[in-house]
Amino acid sequence: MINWLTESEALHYSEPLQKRFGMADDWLGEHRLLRFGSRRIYMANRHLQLPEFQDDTEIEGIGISLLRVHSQAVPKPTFEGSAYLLQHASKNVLALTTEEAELARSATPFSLADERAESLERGFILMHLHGVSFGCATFKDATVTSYFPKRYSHYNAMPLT
Amino acid sequence: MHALNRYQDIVDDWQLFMAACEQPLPATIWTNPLRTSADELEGWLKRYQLDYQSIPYIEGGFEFAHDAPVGRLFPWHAGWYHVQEGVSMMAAAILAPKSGMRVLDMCAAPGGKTAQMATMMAGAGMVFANDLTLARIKALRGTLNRMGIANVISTVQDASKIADDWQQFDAIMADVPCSCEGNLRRNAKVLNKRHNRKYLTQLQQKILLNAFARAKVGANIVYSTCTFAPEENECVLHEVLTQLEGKLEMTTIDLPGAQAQAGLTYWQGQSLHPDIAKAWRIWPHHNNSGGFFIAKLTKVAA
Repeated sequence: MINWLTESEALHYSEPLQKRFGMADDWLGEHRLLRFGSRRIYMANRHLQLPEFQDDTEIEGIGISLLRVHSQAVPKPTFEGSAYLLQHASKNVLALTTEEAELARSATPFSLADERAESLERGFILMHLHGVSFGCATFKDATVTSYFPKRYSHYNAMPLT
Repeated sequence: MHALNRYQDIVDDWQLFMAACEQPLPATIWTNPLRTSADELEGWLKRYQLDYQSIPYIEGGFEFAHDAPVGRLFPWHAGWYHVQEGVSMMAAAILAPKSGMRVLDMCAAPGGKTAQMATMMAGAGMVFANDLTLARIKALRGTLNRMGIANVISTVQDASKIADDWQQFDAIMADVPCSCEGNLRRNAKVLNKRHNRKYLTQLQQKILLNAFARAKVGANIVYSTCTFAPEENECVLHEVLTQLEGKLEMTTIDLPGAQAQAGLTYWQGQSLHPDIAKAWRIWPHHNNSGGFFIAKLTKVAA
C-alpha cells in the first residue's frame, strides 16, 4: 500500500536530514516522500499520480528508497538515498582518500586526523570518493564506521585507483 | 548458425553479417545524467585505464571490449551509468520521451529502457514500467534505486490486458517478448531454442494493438524486438496496420550515427504494407551490436 506523507509527516523526516547535512529548504525539489512497506521512506516525483486500477494490476514500487526508519533522531539514509543527499549536502560530508575508501567498502572502521574530524559532527555522515557516493557511515570519537552494503561486496575485487 | 540461413536473401551483406555473428558482443554503457556528466564519467574510465570509444548514436554512451569489467566498477553501484546493450539503447532514443510526459513501458524488465527514458525526461513526468511477473520487475527496481530515478511506478500486469483505467499515454514503448535471435552474440544457444512462433506473433499483435488503445491521439509508439524473424517484426506490423485502417501510421526514424536496413515490404510470397520500409532492421554488422528491429508509429486517430 502506498501512502503519500502529509506535509507534517514529511517534515518529521526531512527536517532532521536538512539540519544534519546542511541542505537548502527546497532540497526535496520536485519530490515528495511516501511510505511503501513498514520500515522505509521513499522519495518520488511529486507529480506522479496513480490511476485507480480496477483490474488485478499490482504496484511493485514507486520512486526510490531514501531512508530507513529507526528510533534515532536523524533517520538513516539508504545507500541509494545517500547518493541523492550527497548532491545537496553542505556539511557532515567526508571526502575519502583511496585508502579510506578501501576500508569503507569492507566496513572496516578507520580513524580521522584531528583537522578532518573537527569538520564532522557525531552521527550519520555522507561519504564520497572523487564525487562518487560511497553511502553513509556513523562518525563517533573520530572514527568512521561505514554501512557499505554487503550486496555490493563483489565489487571489492576491483581496485578503486 | 544454420538457423540463420533463412535470412540469407534479406541481409544486406551476408559475409559481414556472418563475420559479426562470430564475434563476441562489446560491452556498452550509458551515462546517467541525473548523477553525472559524460566528461566526469570519462575521468573515471581513464583512471581505470580502460580502452573505450563513444557510441555515435547515444549521447554519453561508451563501448568497450567484450570482457571489460564495466559492471564491476565503483561508479556503477553509485548509479553513474548503466550497462546495456548498445542496440537496445536505440529504442528509447528513438521514442525520445520529453520531460513532463506520461509514458508507458509495456514489457519493461529488466529495465534498461525504462531507466533511459526516465532520465531523458530529467526526472519529470512519469513512466509506468510494467511487466508480466513480480520476479522480473524486481530487478528493474534495483536499477531505478541505484540510479536515483524517482519518476517511475513499476507494475505487474499482462501487457496485452492493460485496461482503460490506466488512462492514456503520451508515448509508449512496446519492446515485446520475442524469439531473441538477435542475442546470438551473447548466447549462441538462442538459435537452438524452439519457440511457438504462432503464439508469439499473436501475443505481439495483441500487445501492439493494446499500445494503440492506450496511446493518446498524436502519441508515438515504438515497437521493437531483438529477433531477426520477419514473422515477429514486419508481419506483426502489417497485420496491425491493416486492422487499424489508417489510424496508426509508420513514422520515419531519425537517429544520427546509427546504421540500419529498411524494414521488409515482402516476405515469403506476401506483400506487406509499403510504409513498413520506414522501420529499422538492425543486423549485428551495422553497428557492431546485437540484432534488433525497431518501428516508430504514431496514433493519428482514435
